[in-house]
Amino acid sequence: MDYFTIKQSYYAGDYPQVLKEIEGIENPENDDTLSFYKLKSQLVLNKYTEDESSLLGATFALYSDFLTSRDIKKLENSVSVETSGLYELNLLACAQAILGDYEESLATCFKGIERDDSIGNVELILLAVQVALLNDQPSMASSALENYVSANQDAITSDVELIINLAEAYIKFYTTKDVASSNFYYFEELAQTFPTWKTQLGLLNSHLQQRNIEEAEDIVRLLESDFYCAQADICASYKEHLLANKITLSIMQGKDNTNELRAELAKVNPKHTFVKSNDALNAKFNDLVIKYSSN
Amino acid sequence: MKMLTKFESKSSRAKGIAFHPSRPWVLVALFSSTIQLWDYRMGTLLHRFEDHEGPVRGLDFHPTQPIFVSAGDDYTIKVWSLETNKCLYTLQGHLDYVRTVFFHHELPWIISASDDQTIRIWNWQNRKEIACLTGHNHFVMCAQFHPNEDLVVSASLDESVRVWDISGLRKKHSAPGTTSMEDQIAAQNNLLDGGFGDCVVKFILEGHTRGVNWASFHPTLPLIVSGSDDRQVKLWRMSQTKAWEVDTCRGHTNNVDCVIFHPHQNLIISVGEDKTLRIWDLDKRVPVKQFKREHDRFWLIAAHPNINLFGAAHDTGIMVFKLDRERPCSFIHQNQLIFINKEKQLQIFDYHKRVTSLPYVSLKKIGLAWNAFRSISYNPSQHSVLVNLGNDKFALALLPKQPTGAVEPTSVIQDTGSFATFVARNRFVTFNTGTNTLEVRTLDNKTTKSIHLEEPIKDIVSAGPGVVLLLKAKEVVLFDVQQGKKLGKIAAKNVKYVSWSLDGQHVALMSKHTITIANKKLELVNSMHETIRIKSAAWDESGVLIYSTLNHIRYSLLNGERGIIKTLEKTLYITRVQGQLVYTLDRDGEVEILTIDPTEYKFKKALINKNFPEVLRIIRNSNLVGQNIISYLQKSGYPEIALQFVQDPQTRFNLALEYGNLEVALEEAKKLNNSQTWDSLNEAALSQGNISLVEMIHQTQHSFDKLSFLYLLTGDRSKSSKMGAIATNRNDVPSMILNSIYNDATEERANIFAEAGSLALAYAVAKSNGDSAAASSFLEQAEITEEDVVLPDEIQPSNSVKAPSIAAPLDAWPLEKAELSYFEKAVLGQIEDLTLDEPEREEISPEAVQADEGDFFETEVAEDLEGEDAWDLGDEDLNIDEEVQDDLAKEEVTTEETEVSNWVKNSKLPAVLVAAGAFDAAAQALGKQAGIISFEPLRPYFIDRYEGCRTYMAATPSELPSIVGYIRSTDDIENEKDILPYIPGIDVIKSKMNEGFNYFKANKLELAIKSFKEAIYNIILSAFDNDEDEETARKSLEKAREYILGLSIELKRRSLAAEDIKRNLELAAYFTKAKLITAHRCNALQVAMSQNFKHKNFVQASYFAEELLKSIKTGPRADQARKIKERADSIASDAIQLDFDPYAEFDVCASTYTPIYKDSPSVLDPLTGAKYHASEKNKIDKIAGISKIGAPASGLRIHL
Repeated sequence: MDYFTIKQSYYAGDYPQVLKEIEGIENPENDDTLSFYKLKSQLVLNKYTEDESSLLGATFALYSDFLTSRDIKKLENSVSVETSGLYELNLLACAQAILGDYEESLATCFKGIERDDSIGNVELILLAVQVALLNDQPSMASSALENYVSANQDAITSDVELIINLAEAYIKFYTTKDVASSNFYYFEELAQTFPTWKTQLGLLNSHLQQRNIEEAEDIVRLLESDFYCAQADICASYKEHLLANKITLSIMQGKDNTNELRAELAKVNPKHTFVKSNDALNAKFNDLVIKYSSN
Repeated sequence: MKMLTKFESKSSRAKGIAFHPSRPWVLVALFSSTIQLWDYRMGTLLHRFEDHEGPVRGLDFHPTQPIFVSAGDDYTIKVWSLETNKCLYTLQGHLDYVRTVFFHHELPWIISASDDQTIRIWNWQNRKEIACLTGHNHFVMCAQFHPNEDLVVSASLDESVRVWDISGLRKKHSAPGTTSMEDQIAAQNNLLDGGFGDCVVKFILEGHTRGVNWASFHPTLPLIVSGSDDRQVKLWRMSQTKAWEVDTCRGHTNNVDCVIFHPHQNLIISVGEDKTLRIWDLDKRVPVKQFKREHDRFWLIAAHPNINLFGAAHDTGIMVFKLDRERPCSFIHQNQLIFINKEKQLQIFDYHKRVTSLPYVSLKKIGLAWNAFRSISYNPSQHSVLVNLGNDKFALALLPKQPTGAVEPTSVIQDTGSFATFVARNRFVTFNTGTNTLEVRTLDNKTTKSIHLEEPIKDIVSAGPGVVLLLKAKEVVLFDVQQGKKLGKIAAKNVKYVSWSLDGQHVALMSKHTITIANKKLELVNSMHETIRIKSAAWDESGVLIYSTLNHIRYSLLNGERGIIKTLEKTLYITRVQGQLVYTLDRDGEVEILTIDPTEYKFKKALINKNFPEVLRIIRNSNLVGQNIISYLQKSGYPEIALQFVQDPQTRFNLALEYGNLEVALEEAKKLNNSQTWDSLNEAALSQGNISLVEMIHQTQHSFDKLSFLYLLTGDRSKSSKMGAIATNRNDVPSMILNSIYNDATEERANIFAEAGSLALAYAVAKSNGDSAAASSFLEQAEITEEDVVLPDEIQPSNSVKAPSIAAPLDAWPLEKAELSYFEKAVLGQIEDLTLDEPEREEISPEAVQADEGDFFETEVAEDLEGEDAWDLGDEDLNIDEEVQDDLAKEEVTTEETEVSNWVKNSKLPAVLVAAGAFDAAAQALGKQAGIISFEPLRPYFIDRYEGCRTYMAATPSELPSIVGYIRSTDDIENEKDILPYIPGIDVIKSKMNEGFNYFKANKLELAIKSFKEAIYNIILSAFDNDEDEETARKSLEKAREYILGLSIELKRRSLAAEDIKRNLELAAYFTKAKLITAHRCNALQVAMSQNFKHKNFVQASYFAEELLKSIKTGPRADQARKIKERADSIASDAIQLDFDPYAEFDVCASTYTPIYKDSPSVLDPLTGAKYHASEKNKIDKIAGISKIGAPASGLRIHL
């Protein structure tokens, strides 16, 4: 089966389109890949319906519970790193990464990647790349991707390639490589071809990385326009990311609304990486003030 | 001419020479086929390269790669590796001798010139010949690339010099995309196709009448110089379209083999077979200097690419030399440094104000052009200077009272005599080399006294009024000029420079590699050797000698203890040291002030002087750490002090053991908990007789047998018997036996043997100890009778164990109670009145220091015959930067090199450290640089700097944590060193300043102050890559300070009670002192004018009106001012006496808003530069609210 359109829509952030594509397929629940993308898209759109008829469906239910409870135990008990399918491992590794257990998450990813199983393998690579970056190990991210590409050189289909491209873009973004050239073109092309919240935010990040303040302002305006705000479900999922980018932009512009934006972000998602980092910075600064006030 | 020769090698005929661009290496091409590599600084032959067959003629180091190229009469060009010292490969193609080879400055090209009448260009990376330049019709003797254009110059025996345009070649080989693969292959393979079209003759320079041996491009100007067998040096100029002969330098009496332009000065240097090296003035084309070797023809001259150094190859080797000394002459008088700059102008630097004056005079016309002065001596009474011209002549020049620019001195006396030095207000001495006499002269140059010296001298240095130091070849003599007698002498070879300590008690005598420290009677204190050349020295206030070598600033204590303080990137001459500041002169004749960290030597000095409170204070208040200090303390016999620095349990354990502190050792042993540690501790405890500790260790280690023996040793019977019981419980038969022996428990022992199956031994024990019943019972068990047992003949029952001779067990060996060391007491809080805070730094004014020293205290007679630029040797450096790196490591623990670690690697500016998250390191830097101690106001700026260079991208799936991307200052990164974080630039500062001005205009003064403060906070965390922005930022900081000061005064005035008229008027007056822009100052003047007029202070009102009218000539405000002035002048009286004199020089204290008159004690804020009364010292600055007034600081750094 050709998953290209489904995956393309998913990774471009066009989740309604993913569901639409899958709708037309008979018995998608028999195909783990279709189930994975369908349930993932439902999660983003806040339209998740439990379907425990398959093993993956049951794991998804546990993953969905985890996202609200942050209790990973049930999910861990249910997924076996040795025998469960790679999509299930993907969910477990995601949960581990969300909890900040990057080493464990990476271990889970690599357990799956080492297997010969090809279904869900590249998705695990994408996850491993991101988790390695979150763990400040860009060279591990690069080598994981390079190893995958060189091992599967002859079998890279277009639906695999688009995931590889995304993984590479993340690596370049983190390592500040080709910021104004190929990585910018990647995000720009994606945003032009599939103008979605996800792709626009990708381009926004690229502009911020290039200090293109005006272009970044344009994208912020665009995402705050009626067209994008009308996509209520997706907007809710991505608002926090827009806010984080707006803070960076506001600092670059020298505006004085940064603190308001910080407060808003903390309200929307107090666990956002930016908020956590900001809390840590303030704590570090508190220590500094105490240390030097005694002088 | 005497040359400043640094190095000479002896060999067979040298035909070529090349300098390494960064290391002190020189390659020598020998006629004998060898290539030598010399370290000319150390004078050692590093390697011989032998692979050429026949003479080697051309040589060149690659500007950046570790390779060099050579060529010779075997028709080959060889590329060599400096890493393996092997020939990497040989380029073949020339059909006759190869004369010269040179690398291209940026492209991977080599150019060669050959007797086969061709010039060839080679790509050394793919090892292919890429062009063959034909056209000369005789040997090509030399061919070189232009330093930055696509040109080649060649010289040939066909009597011509040719300039070739090789831009086509670059186009073809540097942009592979523009040509097809076929073209490239053809270009590389087909010599003829590739060679002809790409390199065309641009100019043919004809004028020499014999073969031309050499031609060189000027480094920056469109000039060429050539040397020929016609014995002439010719200068040529070229434009875009033509080239023509400018002039000819005649003088060589034989073939000119090589000629080059001086890389930095307008000089031409030529060498020839007439055995001379000649220097010509490029502008006038006249000979300037000449050097002759007796027997050797010169073959080649080469300039060092970066340093002011030359090398010449001749018949018996090479010489490396400098044309002139580079040390600027200087003289210290009280708080002034009188020095000669590069343009031979005399300037004065004020150590107090840290300002260099305009030039007083230009001395360019004194002495010979192109010859540096040797030394100067200053007479404050006459305001004149003695200049030693270096050619056995001196000049006495009067200085104008005020520095007005580089004018000619009004009066100059020139005469013969060396080493002229002032010895009194109205006397100076010179040395007459012809008669070997010291002549004392008056200021009008009349000799009043001649003193004949037995030996020649090499220099004279002032040693106080009427006394001089005579520097001789092997000794230094302290000589009283008045009495004409020796006061003392010391053996010291070739002393060149001298530095007296500030109290005049010690003197440092410096030669090339030795510093001899003597007291004022010239009695030796100590002498030390330095492998790197010593350049200069000065004593700090506490009697520590700070000296510079080619590449370090180092210190030496009087006991010879020394160390490195700082690495230098270029040669600097220290003139004075004050606290953390080292004042130096560089080779450009400019004052450079360095900041050093004196902690290490202050610490060592305190330790040597046994000033333990100081030692402890330094330990507590500084960040003096590191293995060096620990081993130093250990070595010096202070392990207990070393303990204060160490956290590592193993090191602490070792140190504690070393000074016998079992308590600390035990504490650390518990942490380490390994058998080796316990064993060491056990040994130490045993040797100290600390029984209980030994017992504890054996217990912890389960060393049962050792424990049993310990109890035996100490006579502890009860514990000993317990050990027996323990052994039984453990069922450890050998141990049971051992304990039974220790406890003399014969019955028990017999039973143990019996139970262990050795009835014979059990019987023997029982029998020998007279226990017949037991013995019989064992026989019974063994089913034998007594008859079956054969006992030794002479066996007597006896008690084999002596009864203990002590009544109670020994619990500790009696030791005399050790007294706690100072440190232990201090650490235990047993010392009263122990103050560990930094004492207030006493600012010793230079005047105070030198007031006792008389007018003639110290002359730094500076002759640099051996100067040289600095080499990078430094692995011994203290490297302060590394500490910052460590800080970062603590804060940003990552497993590999990341973006952030690159930032910190590339810059240690506070802004960069903050962006990298190294808040603590940034805070430390800000503290050191600008005395900042109150950080809360900077919180938003720290956080903004950090967050402003990061952007977070949603991961896939979006519920994963976001992935961070870093924002750099630029995307245009050429190498890793350019990687830096994005930090808002000057615009933010400008906008904050403008915001402040707008609030000012709108009379919203509090908001204006807030904006100006924000501008300052932004400046503090800036990182500029250009001087202009930095300058703008620094000016903005000053402006912001003035506005905050002025506006704070005005706000204070507005808050006063209506009846406080005097203060009201004073504050209005002080507001006008703030340096606001004119339009804004008018507001202040208007306020002062109106308030004074209103309160009948007419004289003052008139003054302010007049000031206002200077700025505003027309309009209603001017009209009002005129009216007020007219009215005020008609009354001309003041109702209230104010503490404000418009004509007095004063500043306003930024805290008390009262005047600080000139010469009254004051302190500055290290960040804002605001002035305060001395009583405000150590308080927080009122302008920005973050720095400590009067704190020592090195100055804010905001330039990348």
